Amino acid sequence: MTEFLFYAFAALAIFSCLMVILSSNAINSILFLVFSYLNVSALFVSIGADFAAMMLAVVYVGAVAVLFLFVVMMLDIEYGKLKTVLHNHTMLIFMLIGIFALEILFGFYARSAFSEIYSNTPLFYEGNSIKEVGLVLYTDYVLYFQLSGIVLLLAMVGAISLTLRQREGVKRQNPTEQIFRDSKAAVTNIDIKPDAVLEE
Amino acid sequence: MITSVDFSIISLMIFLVGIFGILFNKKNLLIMLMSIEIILLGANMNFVGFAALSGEPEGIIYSLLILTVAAAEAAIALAILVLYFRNRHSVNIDTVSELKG
Repeated sequence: MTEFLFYAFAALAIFSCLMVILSSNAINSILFLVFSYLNVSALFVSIGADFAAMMLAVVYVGAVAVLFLFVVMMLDIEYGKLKTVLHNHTMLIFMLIGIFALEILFGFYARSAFSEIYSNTPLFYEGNSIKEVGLVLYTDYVLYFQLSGIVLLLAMVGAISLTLRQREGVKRQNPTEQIFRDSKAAVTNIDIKPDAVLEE
Repeated sequence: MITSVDFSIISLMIFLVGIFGILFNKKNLLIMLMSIEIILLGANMNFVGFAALSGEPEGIIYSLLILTVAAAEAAIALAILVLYFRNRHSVNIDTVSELKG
């Protein structure tokens, strides 16, 4: 039963990855991308890596795919032009991909012929993966953890500074000017007589 | 029995689908970014699969780092895409070569 579910999820993952590329509507490809992430996270659950599965579902589906959806919503692309067009050197691309796949498969089988561990051991993560990841992540890999935080900060600052634009004629607050305002220069006392007529 | 050979072949197929998408796509910059995400997903699957084979949590930590870089890359690339669309009113790849600087 587990094997059947594993292969079903694998087939769905590969099918939806193909549909991401081949579909002509951008919204459809993003939804297929979400579907393939969910299938891969089900594959992770089936080999016992539940922390990785949760992370994939939360980060990819919750952040990256929603970011893509927002951008597609803002861009207003005409869908007729989105369809991918085959090159005239299609055969070359197929040959390149085939050679690459054969090379990796050959290397893999050559290695698995030497050691039986790849094809004989059932693939399952024994033990509590969240606990073990936490024990290693905050001690041995703390530098990588901090560096990934810096990478995220840089991405945030970069994305904001790239897309921020200042248009003419928009009223905005100038904090520096506001802080350095002097009360003596800004406020004036006017002596008003009791019977004077107020004018504009 | 699910072995690591099965898992690696599935991750290899997802990786190749991503490369296929980048090479085949002629028009759309957005689909290219999604193909890059698929490639990173395939690499991620390999790390998690071999972490499960060896029983050590290091592979899952590397997949966490890949996830971070993928999120950062998606944010920056989509910001550049929005800028490009603002100037050109399309996401066509053919006119990217007109950019200077």
